Amino acid sequence: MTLTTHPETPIDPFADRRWRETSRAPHIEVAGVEVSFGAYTAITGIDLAIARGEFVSLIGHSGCGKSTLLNLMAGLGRPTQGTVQVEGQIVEGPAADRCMVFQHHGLLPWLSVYDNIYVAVDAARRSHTTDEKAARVERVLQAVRMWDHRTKKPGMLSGGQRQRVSVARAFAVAPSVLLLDEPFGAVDALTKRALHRELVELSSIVGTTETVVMVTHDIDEAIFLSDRIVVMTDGPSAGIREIVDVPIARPRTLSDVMHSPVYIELRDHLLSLLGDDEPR
Amino acid sequence: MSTLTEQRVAVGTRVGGRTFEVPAAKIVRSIAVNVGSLAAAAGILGLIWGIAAATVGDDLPGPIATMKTFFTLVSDPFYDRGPNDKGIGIQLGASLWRVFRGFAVGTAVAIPLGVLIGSSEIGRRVFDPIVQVLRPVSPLAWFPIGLVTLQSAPDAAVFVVFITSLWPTVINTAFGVSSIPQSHRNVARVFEFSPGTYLRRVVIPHSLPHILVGLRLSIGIAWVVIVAAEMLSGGTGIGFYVWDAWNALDLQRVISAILLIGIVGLLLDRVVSMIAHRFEYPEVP
Repeated sequence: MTLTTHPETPIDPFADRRWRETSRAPHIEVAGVEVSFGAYTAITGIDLAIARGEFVSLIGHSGCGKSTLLNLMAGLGRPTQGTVQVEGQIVEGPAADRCMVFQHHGLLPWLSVYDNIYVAVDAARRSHTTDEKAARVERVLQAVRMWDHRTKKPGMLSGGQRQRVSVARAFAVAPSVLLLDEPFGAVDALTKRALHRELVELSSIVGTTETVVMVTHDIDEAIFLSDRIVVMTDGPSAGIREIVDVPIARPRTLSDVMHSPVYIELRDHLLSLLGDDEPR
Repeated sequence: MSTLTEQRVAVGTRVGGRTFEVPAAKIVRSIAVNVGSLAAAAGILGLIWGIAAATVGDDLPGPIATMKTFFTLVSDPFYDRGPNDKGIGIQLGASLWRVFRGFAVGTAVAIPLGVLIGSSEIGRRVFDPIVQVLRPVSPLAWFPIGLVTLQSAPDAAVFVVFITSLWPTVINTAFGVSSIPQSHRNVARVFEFSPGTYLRRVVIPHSLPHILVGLRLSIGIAWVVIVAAEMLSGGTGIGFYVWDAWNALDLQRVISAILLIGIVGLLLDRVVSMIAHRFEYPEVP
């Protein structure tokens, strides 16, 4: 592969992925995965290939093991059987290149908003200069409209603001895979819409993230954001019931989705998949 | 008392970026409430004391006679007329200096030991039984050990303070370090924190409030114990002073010393609690 540089376009040091081979292989590949805790089998028989650049949602009832599956991709858990590969490498542990937005924000309560992000960037992107890191932190905080609140501690913020900071922190380290664990589960419906919009904006403004996997139990959220929706069966021994395509071009606005002829059909189909507990 | 103090701290402090204006009338009322309740406490104490003194008879001095002695002692605290006649300030200073040394060495041992017990399973298995067996022992039982190893009675008192100030700090540090939530650990793993960053940004900030609770308990017990240790060691110190006054059958001096010990103990507690307040952070729901 030959590198072509364009000196007239400044390259964001965080977005510099020129070295990466582009290949047709899946970005994330889950093969024959089972996770059991002693005699209890949480998930079993999971096969899933996610292409580079895809946004995939994992949806299912509480306790169906969708977070367990996401943790495997993050490297926070290990499969009992099978393999999880990212970029063709077997996932052995966590890495900032597969960054996670935690369900309960996971901000450190003793650090200010700014420091929470700076510490993460500083730890995950050691090769960058202090100025580059500071500029990066400012950029993501401006993007989620939290720059004015940068000196506050997480305990002084609202739930929506905390989640904004948490999302900004993940984008700040410029991961190629973004893993979202019910990121908007604890915020009200109006804030949630604003956060969805910001997530889409963030991807375009500081867009280095190629592939996103999100755990949710919100059907509308899944339709609005995803290319494909993985519907899981109920646990124990949860598996994949069906993978539903969302044939609406991305990036989308809310009205694109609402006025799309497939929206109602998709919604009904997902509701029927999730509505009855017996496999059909 | 503590709620009143907290109210006073809250006056004019910034909360959530806004400064709350406190009207002058409210401050005046708050001061009046504080002074009033202190006066009531002193009144009740004086009443019980007066009744007790009247019942027991001449041996137990009453509040008014004692207060005269108290103010005489406090008005000239730093005189020095030979080994057996020093001002009350010098005696308190000697005791505080011993507490400070014993407490400093105790803290320097207790915090690393607590981190070890709290962070490693092996550390917990090895050191926890030692702590559990030695903790219930009265600190004064260590006095002979201190005497034999340090060959000096005043240093033995410091040794007793050292032993005393270990346990609460060890136990609270161990609890603080072992109670780091899984979510914080996961953040550190995902963002690839180095061990140094993890220690500075997660372990220490999370444990510090717990460590400071331990230090506050430790210094409180150390101050209680120094009085008893100095009764054994003799020489100088407020404990020796109480014992000396008792031998002279001067109970007015004994009671005055008791009041001063209480006031100094309260001040020590306030100082540590003010330091602890600096390291607090708002809880996240």
